[in-house]
Amino acid sequence: MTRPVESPAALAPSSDVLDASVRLARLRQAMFARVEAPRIAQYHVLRPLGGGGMGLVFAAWDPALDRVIAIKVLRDPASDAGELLRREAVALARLRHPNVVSVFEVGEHAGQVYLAMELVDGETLRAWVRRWRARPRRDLGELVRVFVQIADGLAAAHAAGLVHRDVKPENVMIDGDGRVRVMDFGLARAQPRPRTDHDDARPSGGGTTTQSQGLVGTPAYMAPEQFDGAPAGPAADQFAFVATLFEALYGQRARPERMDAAAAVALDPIAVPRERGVPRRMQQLIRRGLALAPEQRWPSMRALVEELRALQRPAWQRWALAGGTAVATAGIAVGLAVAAGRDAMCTGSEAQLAGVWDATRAQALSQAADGGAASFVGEALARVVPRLDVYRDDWVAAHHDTCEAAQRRGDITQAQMDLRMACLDDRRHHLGALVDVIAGGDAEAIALAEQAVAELPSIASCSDAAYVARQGYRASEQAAARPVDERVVRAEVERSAGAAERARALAAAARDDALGQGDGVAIARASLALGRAEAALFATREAYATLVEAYERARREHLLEVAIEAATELVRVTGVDLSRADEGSWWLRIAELDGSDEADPRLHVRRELAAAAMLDASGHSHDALARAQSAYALLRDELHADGRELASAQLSVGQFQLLTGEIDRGAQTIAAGAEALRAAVGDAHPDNARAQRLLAHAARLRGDVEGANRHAERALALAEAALGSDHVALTPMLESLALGRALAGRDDEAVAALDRALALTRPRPLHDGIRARLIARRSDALAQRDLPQSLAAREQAYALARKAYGEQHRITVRYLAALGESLAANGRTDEAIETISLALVIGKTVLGDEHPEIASIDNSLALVYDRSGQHERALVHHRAQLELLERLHGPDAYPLAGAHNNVCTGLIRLERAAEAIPHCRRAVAIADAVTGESPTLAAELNNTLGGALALTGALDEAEAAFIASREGWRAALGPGSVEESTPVLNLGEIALRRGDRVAGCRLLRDALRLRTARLGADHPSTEAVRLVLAPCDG
Amino acid sequence: MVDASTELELLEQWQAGSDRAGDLLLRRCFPILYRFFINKVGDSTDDLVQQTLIACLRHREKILDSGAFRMYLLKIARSRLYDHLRALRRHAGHVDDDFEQVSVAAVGTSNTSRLGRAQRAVQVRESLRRLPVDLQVVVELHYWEEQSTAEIAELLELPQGTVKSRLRRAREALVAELGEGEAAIEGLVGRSRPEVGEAGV
Repeated sequence: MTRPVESPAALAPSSDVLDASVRLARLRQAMFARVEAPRIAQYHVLRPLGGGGMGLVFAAWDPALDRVIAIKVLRDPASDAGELLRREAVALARLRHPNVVSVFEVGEHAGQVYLAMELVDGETLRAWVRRWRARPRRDLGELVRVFVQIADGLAAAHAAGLVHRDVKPENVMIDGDGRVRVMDFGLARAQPRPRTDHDDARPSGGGTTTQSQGLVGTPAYMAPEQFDGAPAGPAADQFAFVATLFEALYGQRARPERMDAAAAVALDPIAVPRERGVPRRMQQLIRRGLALAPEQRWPSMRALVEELRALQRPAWQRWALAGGTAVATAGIAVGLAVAAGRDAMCTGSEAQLAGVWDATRAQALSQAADGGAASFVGEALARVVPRLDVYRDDWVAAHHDTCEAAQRRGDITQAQMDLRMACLDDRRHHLGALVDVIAGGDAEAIALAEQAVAELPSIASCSDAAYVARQGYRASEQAAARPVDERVVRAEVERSAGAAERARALAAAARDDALGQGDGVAIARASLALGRAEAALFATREAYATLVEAYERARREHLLEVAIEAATELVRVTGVDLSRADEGSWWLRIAELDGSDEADPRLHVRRELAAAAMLDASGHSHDALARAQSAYALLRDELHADGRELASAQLSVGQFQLLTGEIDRGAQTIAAGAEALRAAVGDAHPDNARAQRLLAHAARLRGDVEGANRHAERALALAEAALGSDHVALTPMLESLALGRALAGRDDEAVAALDRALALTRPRPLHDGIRARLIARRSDALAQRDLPQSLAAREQAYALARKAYGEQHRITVRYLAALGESLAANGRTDEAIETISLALVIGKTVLGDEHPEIASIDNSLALVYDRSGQHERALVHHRAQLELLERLHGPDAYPLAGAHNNVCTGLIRLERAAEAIPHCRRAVAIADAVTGESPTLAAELNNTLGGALALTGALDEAEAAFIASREGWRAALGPGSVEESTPVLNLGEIALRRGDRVAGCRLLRDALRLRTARLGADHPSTEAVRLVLAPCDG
Repeated sequence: MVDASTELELLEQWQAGSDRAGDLLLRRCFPILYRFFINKVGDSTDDLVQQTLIACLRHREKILDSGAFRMYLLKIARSRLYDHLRALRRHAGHVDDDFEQVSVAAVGTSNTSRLGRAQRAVQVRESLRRLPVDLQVVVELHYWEEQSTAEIAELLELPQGTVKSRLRRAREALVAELGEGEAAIEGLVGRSRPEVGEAGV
């Protein structure tokens, strides 16, 4: 069903040419199969759809976008109202609202102005109401839902400074999905002569615009002031809207149909019937909307919508919503400000930000700050507010300047001004959305929003002609600037403040509309926002598809920045989330190629950080570090970022330094970053928790158990104070605490911390990854104590990871290998070997041969072979690990210490001690060089070295190594740890071999005592000492 | 493309199987047929144009020379129009076929309740539509197709005196309807002629 066809006889002569052409073309096709559809500009006319107020409407095909649109040929070229009409059409094209028919383009073809717009497949409101009234049971709610949409569309138009002037049931369409579109917008205004209705032609003489402005409309819906020839304002639209509602409800017209009869009663009050089933509040709404004096009607269409909406809600809900009045009022303020602003563009720059960021909103924020439970919120807002002020001042200056440049100085054309204004609109929406998020957000949202404030899009770039030209604000040379879709902006802001679910809903709605309209630019932008939200929600596969589409659309529409952003996001999604390193590198290359030098340095920063994450995930930690450093340099030198942002980037650099094994330097960078951060944000800010967590990580790597625990505790305390004690953002802090506790041998406390972290997560896809990780940590902590429970935890971690990341992902592979280790520890050796071998095969497929994860799996496999006595096979994998790590990190890197140690151990087991010793010495040397005072690693390595030396008979050297090991453990863990028992046991054996039975037996008994105290008398390790001690008892 | 063939030649070629000739003939005859039908039958114009051309094809032998082609075309158009209006009236339950009394507006071939712009030309056309069909045809042929009363008489198979009296009655009716002087009517009706052509599209 399409719009009913009106007789072409009712059309102005100018339309005849087109009407005749279309008919001739159809006849030629029907009779002689000649296909030559007439064209209007690039559009192929398909068939007439009927006539509207201003001319003919045709269905037409747009070959460029392969979509069917409606095209309206607007006017007789000779008419004097041409320019006014054109401007109206341009304004309409800028208005985008789900309930207003979308205008794609306004152009001129062969002297005729045409309007290309959305083709609405549906019925008119008149037809819909007829069906609604014919039902045995009329659902008032259904009617109100339709009228709310109409009112929404009109309110949006009024906010854009447009008055419809001819609201009536024929000018509203309802599509198959029940979505309403108001059509024939603002066109009546340009009519050179009064509109006639029925057979009642009443020429008013003269055709000038001024005279014609008053008496337009359709008599049955015309407001009294229109009969006086007064200009029709928004209040006249309101009258017509309510008259339409009246007619739908009561089945009779509010005013007579004929012009003379309508004019005669124009000033008589309208009686609102009392009818059962029409609530009193609805009657009041209608009475007020049909008030004769415009000022006695509802203050605005927006106010009327709110009242209508209230009618939709049950009474109890209306009570609950009474507190929300302030919000509604703010909305009205914005609408009015915008409407006013268009009339007085060069003087109203400041007024355009009324309700967006003004004194009232600033005050509201400061009240929120005082009421906030977290102490850092006030400090954060104190930093944010001046930045918002600066942004507002920049905006007002740019807006004023743009207007002056176009209208006073004539420096730029109207078209250039349109583009700049569209860009500024985008910025205004960003500002508004951000202020909303901050005003309504919790502590975490405010902490995140501070970063979003730093990342507000540049206002200066709106004055950059090249930049605005490639933003797709305009569909073609002739078209007006397209309106910015506020939902997309809001989605981006919401996501950056942590509300990814809301962001996804907003972006998805915007994308659906864009797809419906076939608007490539809008699709690209909405897809980018949607893809990012999906990525944030860990809907990885959806995110991938959406972002690829965003990229392709953006390239097609020449939206450089959108393309770069989409490619950048894809670097992360493919390289990190999907663990497809090759594709990640490919997208990185694309982002780099697209990102020319003149593009925003912000884009470069984001790209470098994404690259760092991707390279780290693919095992190239040195390259990752270089990228993180480059991002830091860009922030410092190009963007002159503030203390907080710079400190955060510094922390990231430190984090990557730790990953490359530069433990000392990483620790220093992190410490400096932590200090800078504290100076920038104060003591209470939750960002400090991240710094403390990284400090704890560095401490663990250095074997500084006490430091690791101190920093982890501090991290947790900070996060709890800022976010409360049941926030999911506490999980990384609890994990850090657990690792510190485990390192200190306090396994129960480690498990408790992990259990608490697990309790904070929810069984949602978003949390599956976190849960897998926590459960894996838990199994590590249990491994020393409860083997079956540890195994169960590893099975669980693997299953969760598989759900969260898929089978072919580096993290899933890691947990699969860990599961294998657990199987081995539980004595299920064959299954263990099978499992880990599988992990190795998948790992090599997913990650390639050169990835640290592969080395780690080689290690797991070697350990299991060792355990099952297959030492030769174990050695193969120990060596494979060593060689791979050497290739990845170079011969002196920190991870090599452990690998050399493993090869040394393997050789010792094969009783090839002489070969083993160089590896053990190398391990100790690397550990000493890289970690400096890293007592635990050195202690372990010295113990292995001692074992190798002892086997070759170098007892003195062996003794020295064992002593170094024992001292190392004591320094790190304090005297009396279970770790210390190993070198003590070895020292005892050396003494026995030298024949010093007294010293030997004393040392062995020391070892037995340590193990009994820590592991219990029945533990196998304790048993082993007893076996060695046997000769002493004899 | 300019084709020097006369309409009659094109009709003969079309009869001999040349679609290209048929297509050319359609394009040549379309403006006059469009003007004839559009203000009387609205959306049925396409059908009636097609029927008219096919009737020409079937009754080729009745067209004596190429000079008479236009006349013959309009004759067929008129008879198609009357058939069409008759069918509409039967459909509406009427039996009388007196198109001296019945106007197109009364037959209801188009939606008059939703007029477009009230430009003068449209008003004139509307007024024409409210004339009895016979008067409307006479006026439009006279002012739009610039046919003499003798030509119209032949076309409608009426005495020339009848055509003259119809033309007079039609003018009087239009004066009453449009509120303009007799002299102004001629110009008004002439200017209300629909523009037809492929130019500009």
